Formats: sequence, structure tokens, C-alpha cells
Amino acid sequence: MLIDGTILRLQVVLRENLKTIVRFILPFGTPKENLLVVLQKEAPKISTAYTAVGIDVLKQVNLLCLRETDLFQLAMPSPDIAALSRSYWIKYDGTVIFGDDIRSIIPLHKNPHRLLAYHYDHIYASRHRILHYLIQHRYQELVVGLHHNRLLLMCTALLQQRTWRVYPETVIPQFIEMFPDEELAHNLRRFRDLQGRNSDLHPCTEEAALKSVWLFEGFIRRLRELSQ
Amino acid sequence: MSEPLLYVEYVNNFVRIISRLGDAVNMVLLYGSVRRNDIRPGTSDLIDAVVVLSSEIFLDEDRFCHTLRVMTESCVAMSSSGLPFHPFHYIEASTNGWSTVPIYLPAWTSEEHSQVLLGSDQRGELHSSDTEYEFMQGWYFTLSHSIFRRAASPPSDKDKTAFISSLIHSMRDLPQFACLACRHSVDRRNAFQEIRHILPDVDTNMLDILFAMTTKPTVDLHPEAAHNLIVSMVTFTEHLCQLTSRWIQEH
Repeated sequence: MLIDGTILRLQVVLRENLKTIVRFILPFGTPKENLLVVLQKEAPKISTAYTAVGIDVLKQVNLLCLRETDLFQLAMPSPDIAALSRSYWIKYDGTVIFGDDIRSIIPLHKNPHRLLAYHYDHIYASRHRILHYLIQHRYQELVVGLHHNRLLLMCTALLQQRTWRVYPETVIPQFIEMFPDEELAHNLRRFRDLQGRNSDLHPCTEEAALKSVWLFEGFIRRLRELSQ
Repeated sequence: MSEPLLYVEYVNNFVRIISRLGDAVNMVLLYGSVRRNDIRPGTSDLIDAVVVLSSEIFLDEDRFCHTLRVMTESCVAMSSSGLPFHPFHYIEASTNGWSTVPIYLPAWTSEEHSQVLLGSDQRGELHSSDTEYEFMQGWYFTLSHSIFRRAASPPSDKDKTAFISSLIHSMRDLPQFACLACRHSVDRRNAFQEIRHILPDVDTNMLDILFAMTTKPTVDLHPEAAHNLIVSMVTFTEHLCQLTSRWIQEH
């Protein structure tokens, strides 16, 4: 219903400038529902698509509007780490719900082995956020956030081998299968134990939060060694 | 004590606390407005700094946790100042130097924009994996589209000033991100000039307006003027996005 209404609005507002709409999912994205709106190369504005849809829909559907000449942007890495595999999901799993089928011309990143290095740099540049959580005593949120970041790191490591069909429920076994390393497995077990100890009765302590940061760093270090 | 001196006092206290970590710290680097002696009280962040830690810290759980505790303590001291504050960066020094995303390279490697407060000068060892600036290109387009999303629904008249203020906060980085997307490494302030050379068709009038707005608080505007300004800001973002995209495809 939401998607149907959105398509109608885009058709009415964009008219002959609208070339294609592709619906796709990003399992680690927020929201998971995505629309790629492709405009003709002569289209005067792309911001019109966002205005046409409106902020209420944009909270529920992640919309990305590009001219057909700018599709190269889909394969570019960025701090939106959940979208690193986006071009694969569009190309191989997306559904064309309006207009021409442009999936065959969706570009993929030429050197996926570089993505992990970019991801490391992004993590190194984001460590100040850890201090932010620690000074505010938001220990449980920190542990949850590090867990999510670890899963994203696994996704990027898998993507490096062009394994892109990865879901939150499957990423850990897929990762272990591709990286059968005892140190990584031990690290994962320790982190899982740490998470298991936190509950409403036993809220996360500063000590547990610091340990989770330590385990996160250890995970990165070992993965970096294995993937070099 | 005047506010600029208060900033300096808190920075000195930060260094005192961090120095307790001894040889765990290779370098403490200061950058941003305090380094440039360009403090705007109430607006400038208390500290823009990066602490480069010895790689050995990352091999010893007890030392690592102790280091995190001390760094947290220094942040708690600064956050109690009442001045605008965000935690500093910390990075591991490895045998290959230290690595980060290219956005920080201009400030962190420049004598003019940064100053070593503690330890030895390791600025020459900083590098980025993103040697082709493709991560920065992706980041630039992500930022542009986030501005389109935010501007998708105009705010009510009474919220327009706050909305413009938050939009400026996002857009102040656009010229620097556009420069980096065009593989020109430049800091945020100089980017407002540099982008005119890289993309000669950029709207220089809007660039001047944006620069002026980043250096002073947003004033209350008549609703119609506020609406026109928001439209101009989105149009500028869109045009810059188009020019940058074309530059990337031609180079």
C-alpha cells in the first residue's frame, strides 16, 4: 500500500523524467525497504523525487534518486556501511516495479578487496564514539552497537569474496565458514558470553563495556592479519 | 578568566591527564579552532584532538582497559566545563604508520592546522587506504542525498530558523567533501575557495552566503525569506552534486 502510493506520487510529479523504479532490500539497513528511482539523464532536478515522496514515507522507505548517468554512484563505498553491498542487492535481487529494466547496467565495485581497508579506516575514525558512550555510562548501548558493527565488519569481509547475500541471521555461520580461525572463533565466544551475562537483573557494567571494546579491537586486529 | 583562556586551561588539563598514560601515548595532536587561535566562545568545540596510541596497548587487555579509563576520565573533566564538547579521536600507531579516512589528512598533517601537544611528531606517518578518494566520493554523495531527504518536507514557519541552522551544520562540510571527491585534499575553511578553481561553474554567490552563515549564528528571518533561503540551499546542493558527478566521470 505504502509502496503503491509512493510509486503513484513519483509518476505524477516526475512524469516523463521518470525512467525506472527498482525495489530492493538491504538486510542490515534501517529501514530495510529501499527504492531506487532512476531519472532520465536530462531530468532537471533529483531533489524533486524526495519532495514528492515526503518525509513521512522517507522514514519508512529509504529512497535513492539518481539520473541514469549517475548510476556509478551505487557502487561507491561510503560511511553508510550497511549499503556497501547495495549494488549487488539491486542488480541480482531487486524488482523493477516501474519502467525500464536497468539492472544489467548497475555497476559493481571493481576492487571489493579494498572495501575492508576502507571499513577499517572508517572504524578508526569513529572510535571517539566509544568514549562518548563511556562518559555517559551508556554501557549496554555500547555493547549492542559494537555487536552490530562486528556483524557489519563480517559482511564487508564476506563481500570482499563477493559473497553479498548475507542476513543478520546467517552472517556469523557464513563468516566462520569463510574464516575458519580459532582466535576469531574464541573472540566471538567471549563476546557472546559477555552479552549473555547482561540482563535486566544484571545490567551491563563499565568493566563489561571495556571488555567488549577490547574484544572488538581484537577481532579487527585478527581479521586484518588474516585478510592481508 | 576570559572564555578563550578557559578553553586553553581545559586543553592543558586534558594533556595533564593523558600524560599519565606514559609511553602508551605516542602523540597528542591538537587541531581546529583552539589550534588556530580562532576560538568563538560558546560555538567552538572545546577540543579537536587525536591521541595516537602505541600499538602495544592493543595487545594487552589490562593496559588497553586502563588506557580507555584514563581517556574517559579526561573526557568527563572536559564535558563538565559547560563548553561545546565532543570526545577526541584515538588511533593506533602500527608499523605502517597510522591510518584514517582522507577528510582528516589536511588538518592532521599540516603544521599550520595542527600542533603536537605531547610525544613525538608522527604526522608524517599518517596515511589513508582511500588513495583514490573513492570512499570520499561515496561519502560526498551520501551527504548530498541526506540533505535532499531532510529538505523533503518544509518545516513550519516557527521552526524555519532552527531548520536552517541544522541545514547549515550539514552543508558547511559540502565544499570540503566536494573537493575531496574531486581528489583535492583541503581543509574545511580553504575548501570554500578551492572548490571555485576545481568547479568553475559553481554558484560563488551561494558559496559566499554559506561561508558567512557558517561563521555566525543564524538570525530569525521572515518566513518567506527563510523559505527562499532553504530553496536556494537545496538548489545549490543539487547543482554542486551535478558538477562533482560530472568532474568524477570526466577524470
